[in-house]
Amino acid sequence: MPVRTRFLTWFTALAVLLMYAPLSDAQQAVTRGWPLNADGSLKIYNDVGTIRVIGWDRDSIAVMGTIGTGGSMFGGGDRAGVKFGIEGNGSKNLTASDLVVHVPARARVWIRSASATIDVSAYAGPLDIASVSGSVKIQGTPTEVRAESMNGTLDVTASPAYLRLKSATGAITWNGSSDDVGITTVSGRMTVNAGTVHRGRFESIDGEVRYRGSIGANGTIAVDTHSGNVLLAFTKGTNVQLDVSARGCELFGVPLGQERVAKIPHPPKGFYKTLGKPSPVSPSFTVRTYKGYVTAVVQ
Amino acid sequence: MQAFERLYQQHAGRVNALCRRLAVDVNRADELMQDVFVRAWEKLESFRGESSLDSWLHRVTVNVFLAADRGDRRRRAHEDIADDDTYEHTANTASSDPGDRIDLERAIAALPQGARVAFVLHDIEGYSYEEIAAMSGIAAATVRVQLHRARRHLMEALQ
Amino acid sequence: MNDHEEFDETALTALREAAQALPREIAPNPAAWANIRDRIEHTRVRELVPVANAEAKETSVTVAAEKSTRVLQPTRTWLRSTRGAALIAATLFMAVTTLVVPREDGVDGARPGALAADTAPAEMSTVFARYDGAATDLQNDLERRRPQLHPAMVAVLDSCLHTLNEAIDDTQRALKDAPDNATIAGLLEVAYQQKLDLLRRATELSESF
Repeated sequence: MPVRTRFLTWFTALAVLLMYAPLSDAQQAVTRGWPLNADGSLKIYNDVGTIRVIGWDRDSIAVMGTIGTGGSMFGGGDRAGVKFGIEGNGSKNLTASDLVVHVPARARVWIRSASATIDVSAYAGPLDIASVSGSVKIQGTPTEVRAESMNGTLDVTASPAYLRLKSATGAITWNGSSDDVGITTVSGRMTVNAGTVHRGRFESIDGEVRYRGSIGANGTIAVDTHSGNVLLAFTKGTNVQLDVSARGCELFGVPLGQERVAKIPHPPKGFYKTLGKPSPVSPSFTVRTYKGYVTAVVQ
Repeated sequence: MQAFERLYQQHAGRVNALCRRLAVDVNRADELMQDVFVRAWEKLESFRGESSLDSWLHRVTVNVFLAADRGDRRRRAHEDIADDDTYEHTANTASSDPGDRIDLERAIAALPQGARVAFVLHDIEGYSYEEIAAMSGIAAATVRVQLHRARRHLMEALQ
Repeated sequence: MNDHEEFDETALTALREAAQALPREIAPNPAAWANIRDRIEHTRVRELVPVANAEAKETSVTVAAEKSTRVLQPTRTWLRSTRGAALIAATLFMAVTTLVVPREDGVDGARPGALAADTAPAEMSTVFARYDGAATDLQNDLERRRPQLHPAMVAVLDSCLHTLNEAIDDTQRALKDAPDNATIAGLLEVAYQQKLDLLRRATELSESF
């Protein structure tokens, strides 16, 4: 064989080898299933990638997706409870695993992740999600929700009877109604578009809190910030006793108390206003902020 | 708790007087007074000093009384307080020695509830129509009507 | 309607004067205060139980009282570790302060941090010192494990602890100037609770990976 031909042959063979060698560690397609009772429990672990959970009306779990390089799937359990997830093979280059998980709509679902994006829909059971930096999105009719992310965003459109959303720097958005809701951020902005809340607690240190919605009769809502501003929008006809402690407060276009100042020389002032028709069962809405400014409007 | 006890000792007499005149029945008045101070304990944080503590406690008293009364009336299916024009027959009121002339306290106790609340808050405690309306959740015009009714009944009873 | 047109002026004046002359105070039943105090104390104790249960749910403890026996974290022998002890201490502390520091009726597991209006400054200092202690324990534990923590976690923790510590320092200074201000004390307590909660969550999350 001429030298040139031999070289080309070797070169081509090498190129083919180099091209196809990574496939041995490439993303693997995965399809797994386990039986699970309608009220069973499911735990999902996936550090990197995406986790999409969809409720369905079968007594089983179906997992489809791809496992990232450097990872492998583990899993097991029985009809009462199943646990599965992606774990690293010891390689430092664990790449994204993308999982779509169909679960019985009323099973208990528990998810832990470092940075995976989590999306839950068409689901009607209790939900418990925690992530370091992954974003979380929930839509559907979960009966109770506990979701937290350190710096990922939380976006929830649901009306569970019990709701707890927590972040550190991630923004939180909630649309829905609830009997019992608590939302906490350190610096993340909080946006609440509530239907009716009976008991609510919204806390942030320096994140802005925006609340729009109605309050159930005899309801109690409290907003606390250190320096985050608070914006409130009440619907016309709302009956509520509004109680504000802030550096400055503007209610319905009328400034009350001192203007917002950069340096605060003395403790917050108190403002008290009754909206709508006062009655012994007027819900109470309490806002306390050490340095923040409160603005309330009726829409 | 010690500070709250001091607050109780300073204001219990006034609150109790209001409770006795609103609730009429002594046992019910005692319960009402206790409910008022328990509620005051729970809601003390919301007192912002825009009114006197006295006025605030009176507002709490009226709220608690009306809320309890609404519960009672739902159970008894009575007619609306604003339209109540019947005399209530109360049990366990102050001494009813037949030899005593009917005094003002007993006459007040015998008033229909709506009229009694209006009279006690306006002519005894000195609140305005608007303040009474805000406390009790009825219109100021209704307060005037109830007060007029109370005065008419009382003057007839005292003649 | 005009009373002066319908009623005899003299009679109306007499009625109003008689009303004004009625005693403005009537001594209450002597047993009333004891009953009120008991009801308030009972309310405090009743509130403790749902808070303790809710806080316990959020930690890695299998709560036998729960209807579900679900364990929130993979079974580990963490109870024997200082990490677990710090978590339990933080949880119990938050439950205990509900007894010491009565709260308004609020959302269980996330109650308003309302110190009672009459909580003495000395009592407040004790409460806040305990918060400091619990936070220090958790923070030291996390610091020891810093090399193993997820990088995103480290960055968020550092940033948020800085924000929280600034807020705590701010309100502590304000409270020194106004020791009777319940609002400031309440906001300080909220900041402490947030700090403890952040450290607890970071510890639990780091256990998962």
